[in-house]
Amino acid sequence: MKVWVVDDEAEICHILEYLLKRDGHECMTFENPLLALKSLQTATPEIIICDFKMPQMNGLDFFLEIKDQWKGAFIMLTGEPSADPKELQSIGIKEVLFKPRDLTRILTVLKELSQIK
Amino acid sequence: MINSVVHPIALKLIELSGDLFIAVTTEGFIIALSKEWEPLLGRSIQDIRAYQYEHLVYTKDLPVTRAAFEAVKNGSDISQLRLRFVKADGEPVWLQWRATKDQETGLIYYAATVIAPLDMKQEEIEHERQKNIHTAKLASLGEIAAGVAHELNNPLSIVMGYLKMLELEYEQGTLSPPEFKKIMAGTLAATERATKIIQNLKNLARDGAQDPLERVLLDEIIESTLDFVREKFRRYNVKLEVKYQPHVWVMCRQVELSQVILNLLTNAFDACESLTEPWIKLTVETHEKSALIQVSNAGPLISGEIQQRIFTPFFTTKKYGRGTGLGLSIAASIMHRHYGELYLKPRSEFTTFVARIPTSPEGKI
Repeated sequence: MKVWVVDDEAEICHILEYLLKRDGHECMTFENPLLALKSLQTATPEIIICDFKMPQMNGLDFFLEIKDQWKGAFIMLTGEPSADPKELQSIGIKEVLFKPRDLTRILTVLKELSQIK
Repeated sequence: MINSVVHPIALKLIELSGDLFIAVTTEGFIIALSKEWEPLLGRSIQDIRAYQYEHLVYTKDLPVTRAAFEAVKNGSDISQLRLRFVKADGEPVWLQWRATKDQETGLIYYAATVIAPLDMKQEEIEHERQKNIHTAKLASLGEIAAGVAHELNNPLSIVMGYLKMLELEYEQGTLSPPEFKKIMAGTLAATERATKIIQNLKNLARDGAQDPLERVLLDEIIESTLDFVREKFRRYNVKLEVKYQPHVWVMCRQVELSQVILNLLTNAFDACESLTEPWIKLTVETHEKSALIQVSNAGPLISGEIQQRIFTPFFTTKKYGRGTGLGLSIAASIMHRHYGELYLKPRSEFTTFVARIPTSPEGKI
């Protein structure tokens, strides 16, 4: 699947890219959500894995900005222990995963998503 | 070795004076005092001289006495220090003190005035104030706790990710030595980042008000405080410029001084974060017998009306949930307890807060 990773931590981008590619996914990473927004005008990933707290724009605003024109699965990968998955899912976010414990669970989640497809 | 002998003229003046004078060695031994002490304390001069200075102090005031004594010993002058001596009958007597050290002889000269006793209520108020300061510190800590959790979860994710990489590479027999080294280096760096965050947090949460004053290099305090914010500033593209004169020694409670510097940096961050080109500048210079720690930022200047109120507890201009309005008032009280002060630099081109603390000259420990 075509997966994008949006996280301002370069190393997290690097690790996720490694894990995803290893599992046979196509992967692109963005350390700045604004660049991802721009790239979305010309490309359509199937899945976006996005951090919540980023300096330029937070993950929720990023999702709200794209949700009308992009129909893929949006996975929020957050370090905020207080994020409420139910609330986020109610507005259309597919999955809410927590750092650090769910970092390596992403592959399982992607597998489930590809089966649904 | 310093010759701890009172100059004969000084001795005459002390003995003849109608005021309360006392000369003490740096070890705390009384070597001269004016006659006025006799009726006040109800003890003879010989009797008083047999004591160490500390023995005359009311037990509850010992910590502040020691802190002040250390500061004077290290070259700071003191005025308006309030503490009690004990009379022969055990009753305390309130005194307001001035003190200075004679660099030549190494002796410390005290002059005191009897003041109206601060009643129990005031003492309680002071006690309550101290308690509130700690509670407020914890509250403002709560504010940054969410931020810290995030800061901590990122390095932990990196550790976890690298370990997963290691596992996969190993299982498939593709782990090359350079790859292994790279993964290890990344893991260690992330662990170190997490450790630093925890260490800093631990120091900040502590109530350092009862710590003894220590002679510390200001450079070290500043560096360890900067560790706490560097990452955050980098992430938010806030340019940080640090310029300090090295090897400046101060007498301080490290935790408290670090709290003050962090408070100024956090305020500066909040003031300029939303600008297109935010920057924060921290400088340290010495002026006369003081170190001036200055924190400026690119944000708008503080209006005259607000300037009047910034040191008032619970006054804040920050958005709801972002500030308790206690930071600057606590920081100011910490600086006062260090015989320094905290002020907004007048007529400065940019908003600049100055924390002044007396320096502790080298070799005078």
